[in-house]
Amino acid sequence: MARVVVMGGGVAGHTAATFAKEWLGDAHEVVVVTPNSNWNWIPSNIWVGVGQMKKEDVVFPLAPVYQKAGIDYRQAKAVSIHPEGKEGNDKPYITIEYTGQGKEGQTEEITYDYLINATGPKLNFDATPGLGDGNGNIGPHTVSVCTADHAVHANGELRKIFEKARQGQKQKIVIGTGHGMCTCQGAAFEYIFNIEFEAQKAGVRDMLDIRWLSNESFLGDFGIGGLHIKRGGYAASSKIFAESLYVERGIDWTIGAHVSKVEEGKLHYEQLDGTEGEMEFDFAMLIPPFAGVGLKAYDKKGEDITSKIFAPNGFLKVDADYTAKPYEEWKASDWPRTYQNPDYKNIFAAGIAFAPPHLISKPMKSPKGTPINPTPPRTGMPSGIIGKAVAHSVCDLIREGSGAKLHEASMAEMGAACVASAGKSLTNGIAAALTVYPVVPDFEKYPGIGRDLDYTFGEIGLAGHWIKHILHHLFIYKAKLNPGWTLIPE
Amino acid sequence: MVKELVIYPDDRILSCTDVRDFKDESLPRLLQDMKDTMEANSLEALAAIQIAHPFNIVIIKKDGEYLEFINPRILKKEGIIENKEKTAYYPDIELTVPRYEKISIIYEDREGNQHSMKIEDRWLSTTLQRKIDYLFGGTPLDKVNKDYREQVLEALAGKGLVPQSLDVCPTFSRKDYITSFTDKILFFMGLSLITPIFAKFFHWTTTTISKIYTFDKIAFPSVIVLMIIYFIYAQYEAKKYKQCSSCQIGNQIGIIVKRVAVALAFAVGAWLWVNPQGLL
Repeated sequence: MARVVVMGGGVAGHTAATFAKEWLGDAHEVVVVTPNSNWNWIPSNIWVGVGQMKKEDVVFPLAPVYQKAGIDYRQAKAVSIHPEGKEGNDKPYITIEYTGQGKEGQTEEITYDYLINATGPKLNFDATPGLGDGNGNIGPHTVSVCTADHAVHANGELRKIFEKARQGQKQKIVIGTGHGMCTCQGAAFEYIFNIEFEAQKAGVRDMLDIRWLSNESFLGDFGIGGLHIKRGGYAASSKIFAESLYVERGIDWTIGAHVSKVEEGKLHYEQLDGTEGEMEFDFAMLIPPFAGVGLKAYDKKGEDITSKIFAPNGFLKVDADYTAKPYEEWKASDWPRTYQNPDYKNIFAAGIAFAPPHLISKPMKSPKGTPINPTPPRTGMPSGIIGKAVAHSVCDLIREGSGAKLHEASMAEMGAACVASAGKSLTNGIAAALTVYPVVPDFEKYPGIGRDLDYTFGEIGLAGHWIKHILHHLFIYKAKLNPGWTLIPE
Repeated sequence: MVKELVIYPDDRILSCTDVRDFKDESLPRLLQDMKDTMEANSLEALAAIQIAHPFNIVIIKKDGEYLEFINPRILKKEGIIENKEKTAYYPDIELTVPRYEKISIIYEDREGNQHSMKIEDRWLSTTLQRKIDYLFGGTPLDKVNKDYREQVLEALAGKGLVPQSLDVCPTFSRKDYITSFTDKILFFMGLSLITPIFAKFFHWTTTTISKIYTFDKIAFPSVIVLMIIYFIYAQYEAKKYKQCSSCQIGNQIGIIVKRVAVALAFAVGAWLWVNPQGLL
């Protein structure tokens, strides 16, 4: 009996674990190690953040689902990987520290035959002074929608702002990214438009100055270097599309900005042209940069080999080309295909946990040398697809031996669909539905814009909102492993 | 070398990308071709895509000097003005476009070195904005409102410049006639609900009320039939025009569900309120 250990229970980890168990059956063991007791449909957190959904609508307990699936669930955080085992025992293992199940604080070793690292990111609030509290958590000056609990808190603070606006006090709202190296502009994009939509509904829009602040060098970059979309019969870039929307909804923007410091009611930033500025706010939601979760790795002798299997940003090295190259030499083929660690063939990564070879957006720096550019997003759809492909590879390796052909899911050959909400209402809701193919532009295959325009398109309207709402229920249904879950695509 | 200008409705204008390789030997040649084309056509500014080279390059001639902007980005903006402007892409058309009076940009030179520039000169600021529109898959027409855009497109059509592709979404669809007619029926159905109030004050006879109720009895199934016709025609149109936001089935269902729901509510209201044999 082989044991597959999956670290992380988010979109990638949950997908990998549940499919691995489905395909391996009772003949083999699947263990999930995640510090969380709940699964969270993160794309809907923005609706929790504006009070249009409750936390219970976007999370569900993992334990009963894993019990039903026959998956060994450990509510614990992974601490270290020992891919060569230890003196006297070659069996690789990981060490974990429980965060629940009545064993809080206890540590344990779990051996594995195959390890899937799908831990997701560490929300690195402390990378920006004042954005974090110094202990790795969000600081007191801003809010976040990265977790369901953060979103509940954000909504509470937003309601206070609306109340002050109702009393006739002008309020300043800043939404965007809290560091020059952030990703997930899409979530902030959704949140700002949902706030604007709710403000209209609440009749307080006139009292709000809503401003976008991000590290993008142009509106609509979204961390993928922007995209050209077919819209209403003509091709348009995401810049034109985004600018129209911001102008239409009366939202001003500051871009190419690295937030260098956050204080009570004020933030400081540096822009790509080297100038510095300050922005006052009454309410700010700033996405933090991501980093690896801080896993350590040790060889058989107990020597630290963290830098051997992890990239400097803490994400796991996989079969990507990590050679340092100038921007003009970046290729689609640099991106990983199997997500297998080059040194330890029984370790894989999925979702945000793998180290990308480089950015997707154009790398940029201010004259002072501060890097200000979006980092590559790995949204739900690619994460799910990668998780499934990795599970497939691991299952084949178990059943067919080390000669099994690995399954591939390169982000340079994969399309992604994104539905970005701009207001939640059954009759007046609005969302932008975008597809992009491939996620990572391939300038050799598609000279010019690097993407296939026939598969890269976008629409905005009520139908987009309905799709987003349907997807919310569909993916939660799938994640709960309800009947027919395997038929629902990632 | 002087190159041929891309003019409306040639949609190659919409596919541009950043210059990535500054060592490419063709880059200085392209910059020279742009300048030659500007001289030959007496242009003060040109984007590379206007001569069908899909790169984010703008050249502006100011005070006899050529300014080269590669991969420009607008970082700051100040003061909105209505700017009258012409562009070679829309021949002989003058547009009024909202622009920023002052901007700050970053851009690269032909060696790939990054620079920044604060532009307070109104002409340079608006000209650069117009050219940057092209660099990101747009044209100045994307910056104006829909009605004004249609006027300009009509004017261009008057000069024989019309898009040839059939897969573009029409600015007005025949199915809009159906929704418009349906909305008018719904308006009168809604109006009919105040019949009891008028009947009381103006002493209308039962015959008059019955006639109004007869209208309601005909109007409700008419709305249903019209919506079925709408759906069938919308499906035909969705196949005819490949790219059309109003052709999305989700939007069609939304339009239908909203109107059927309103018609149903009005019909029930009429049955209860207007119907001489009604319950109320």
